[in-house]
Amino acid sequence: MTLSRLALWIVTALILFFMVMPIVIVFVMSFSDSRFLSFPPKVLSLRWYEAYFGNRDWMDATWNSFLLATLTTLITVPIGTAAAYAANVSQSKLVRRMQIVLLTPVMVPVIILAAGLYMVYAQVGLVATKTGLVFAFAMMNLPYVFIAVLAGLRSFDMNQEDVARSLGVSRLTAFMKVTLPQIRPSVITGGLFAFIGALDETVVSIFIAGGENQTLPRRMFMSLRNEIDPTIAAISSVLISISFALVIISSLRGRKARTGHA
Amino acid sequence: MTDLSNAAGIARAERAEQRGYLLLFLPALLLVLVFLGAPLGLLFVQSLREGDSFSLIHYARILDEPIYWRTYSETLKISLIVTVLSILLGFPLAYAAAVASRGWSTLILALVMLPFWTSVLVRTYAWLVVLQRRGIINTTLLNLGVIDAPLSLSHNFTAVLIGMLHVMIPFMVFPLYAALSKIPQELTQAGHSLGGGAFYVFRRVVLPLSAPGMMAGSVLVFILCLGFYLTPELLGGGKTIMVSSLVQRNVELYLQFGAASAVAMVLLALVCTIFWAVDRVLPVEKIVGMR
Amino acid sequence: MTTNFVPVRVADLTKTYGTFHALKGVSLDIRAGEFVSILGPSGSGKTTMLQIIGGFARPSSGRVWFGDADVTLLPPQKRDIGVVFQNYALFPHLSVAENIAFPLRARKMLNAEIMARVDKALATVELSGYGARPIAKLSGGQRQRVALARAIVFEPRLILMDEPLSALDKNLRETMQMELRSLHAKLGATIVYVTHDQREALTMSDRVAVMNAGRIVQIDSPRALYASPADDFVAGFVGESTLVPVARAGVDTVRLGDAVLRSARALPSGDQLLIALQAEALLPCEPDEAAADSNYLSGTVRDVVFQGESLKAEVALPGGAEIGFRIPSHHYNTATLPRPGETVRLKLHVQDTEIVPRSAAT
Repeated sequence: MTLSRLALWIVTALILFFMVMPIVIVFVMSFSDSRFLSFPPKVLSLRWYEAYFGNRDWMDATWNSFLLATLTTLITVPIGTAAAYAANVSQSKLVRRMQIVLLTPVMVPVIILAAGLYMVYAQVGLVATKTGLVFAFAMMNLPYVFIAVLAGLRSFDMNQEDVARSLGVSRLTAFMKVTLPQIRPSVITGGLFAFIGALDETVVSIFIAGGENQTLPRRMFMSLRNEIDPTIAAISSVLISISFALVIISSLRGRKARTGHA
Repeated sequence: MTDLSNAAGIARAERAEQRGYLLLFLPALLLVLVFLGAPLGLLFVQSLREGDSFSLIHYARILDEPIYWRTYSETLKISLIVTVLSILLGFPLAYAAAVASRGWSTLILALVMLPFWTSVLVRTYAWLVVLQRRGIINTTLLNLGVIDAPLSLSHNFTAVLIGMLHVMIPFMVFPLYAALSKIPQELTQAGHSLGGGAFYVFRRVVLPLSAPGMMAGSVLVFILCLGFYLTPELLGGGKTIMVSSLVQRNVELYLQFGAASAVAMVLLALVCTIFWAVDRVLPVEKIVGMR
Repeated sequence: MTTNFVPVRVADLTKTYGTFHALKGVSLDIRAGEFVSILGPSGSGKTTMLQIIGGFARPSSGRVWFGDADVTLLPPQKRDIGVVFQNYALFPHLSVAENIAFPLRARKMLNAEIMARVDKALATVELSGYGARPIAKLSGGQRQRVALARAIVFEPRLILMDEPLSALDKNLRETMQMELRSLHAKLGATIVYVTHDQREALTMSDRVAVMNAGRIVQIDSPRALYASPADDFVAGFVGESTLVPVARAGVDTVRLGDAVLRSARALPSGDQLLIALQAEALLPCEPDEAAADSNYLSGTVRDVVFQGESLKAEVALPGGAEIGFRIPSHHYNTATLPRPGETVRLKLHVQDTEIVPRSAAT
């Protein structure tokens, strides 16, 4: 191995350490017995997990966030997929030009979305309502579904849908029976992005969630502003585990589908 | 006699089909137009209003008051530094992932993915745990007797930089890796066989070919930094105020909707200008990963 | 034998993509049970034609009839057509049997009947016992057969094929050509077959429609197409001939340099005439030979190239035109093989002397 290669590997290892270290520390600290942050913890315990799962307010916020993330996914996946399908097959200039509109939610800084949504919601009484939160999250996460499904459709051979139709099924049936089973990994990826995006959405939550409709990230943010509560380490570890479990499950499924044994 | 050209019937069928596509597209479009359009529209209107009448006072204040100016220039400065640093740290990762064997490459990318899929709030909390006055570094150093009094590592400019950098590096690594992994091995080998040293090949072959990925990553990171809220707010400790905090404070603390709207509009204009400026070489669709 | 197969008629088809005219007024009559190939280079409009007949694309103007029914605006699912695409477009998430059962399930047939028909279709394409296999486990030739079985199992009114053999290797392609021909005879199917391979078109078809630049240039039986091409495009594309400009010399004679050549047919009209010289039709001969039914040309041998079953010699005519002739590559020939630089005399039968006008399109 040349010297420059060696240098590259050392630098890479250091940067990767920088990337992963804080997350590992949070994980380890969540099992600490102490209120103080000494590392490594002297005694291991589950007291911060008990503090999380035993607290009514934390549980309510968690339940809310999961409900909102599920509803967001249920809205964005069908309408994002429909839009991606139209964008993929339509020759119309109008549809092509409007694609960019569907991408704007990821282009506008979140703080602007949050402030604007708050002001609009304040006027129509949607602040701190599930309806308001779900539609805000759906709008923000729609582009991920749209982009993922469109990418899937672009690499899909549309001749298959043509053939299916020539064999006697309607366009909708052809899509459901032939196209959808084959672009499923893309749809799942898009839905996963939307789900995790809604679950983690903090800034917009800070502005428009609250009261009965508190979200988990918002409650975490509020608590972090005041002090460092090790309960947050336990919650963070739970969230990291969930995100990662979802990502790994979906990528394993995707790999399975690609090798042709669905 | 049949009309052989059949033009009217064909045109009608064509219009019906296009209407069908439009109908499929419509729910998504409406969702964005209503829930993004209305907020942006309201911000725009409010930025031009004082009381019940038209006024440019909110924009004038941005020009006049140094606190606004400083916040914008501070935001630009931090964004620029984070962008440059994320290139410096992201490039070795992307390059290593591109030249490594399959297994190592997957490992490197997975370790970049881990923070990427972790919520920004959680990661910011992680840095608080590490950097705080009574955080891990200080506690550990105190326990070891290396220092007598805790170092002030958080609630300052550096802490904000570190936290933001940690969030942004994956956004730089992915487009860079995409560009670098497309460079065929034969090309760098050809460079070597033509007598180029490692550094020469790197500078003349690898670097130019990775430019598009670097450009996409930089634009993405810079724009994300401009509107970044969580990390500066929590790690900055109120000292380093970025534009996003200014918006938030004007809304929630001072209930100054007009001022908040004007600040947001200027930020939006800045972001739009950047997208517009790079559009020719780097269309939006490419930046957000659609192509 | 009664079948569902229908005659197909298209009239005045045009198709425009933006400023590009893919079809410029195409009409075609196909009899029930006829095998018609649409032959042309890429961009000639042949695939657009198939897309419109299949209902996958709408023409800009014109009509399509299946029998007496105007199907121009009918979606593909109501046309009852079997389609085989170049990449087969098999459904990779379904087994072989489920691929073939797809059109039967769409028609809500009973399970028992579906099974029976799938088995019969598999037997027809000689794949009995392959029903449970996943598509990924099939070879190219087997996929081709499954696609075929799926296209015929529901007794369609018409079968469309878009370069279905182009992904196969040469030997398999020739076997499949023969099988397609016999299948066509067995089913009595109306088949529209799109290809850019002239040999394939000539081998299989009852008639061949040659397309160029959005128009049908000639539609004829393979033999007629080969023997009397309508213009230089057809001659060049179908016969793989070398086209050399000639001057009109009489009712049935032309001048090529010093040589006067006689054709068995009257010359076509037009100012610019070309002779279509096919390498296979030229034979080397003795310097003094002079038969009434032969035309003679002399030239200098440039090169002799070994091409497997034959040798191809390149000859420069005195006027500068380069032509080629072919010699079977066996050892009887090696002694008398022409060498570069030598002068060679070639004869061409008057029946093979094809004079064509320059086409309007090129």
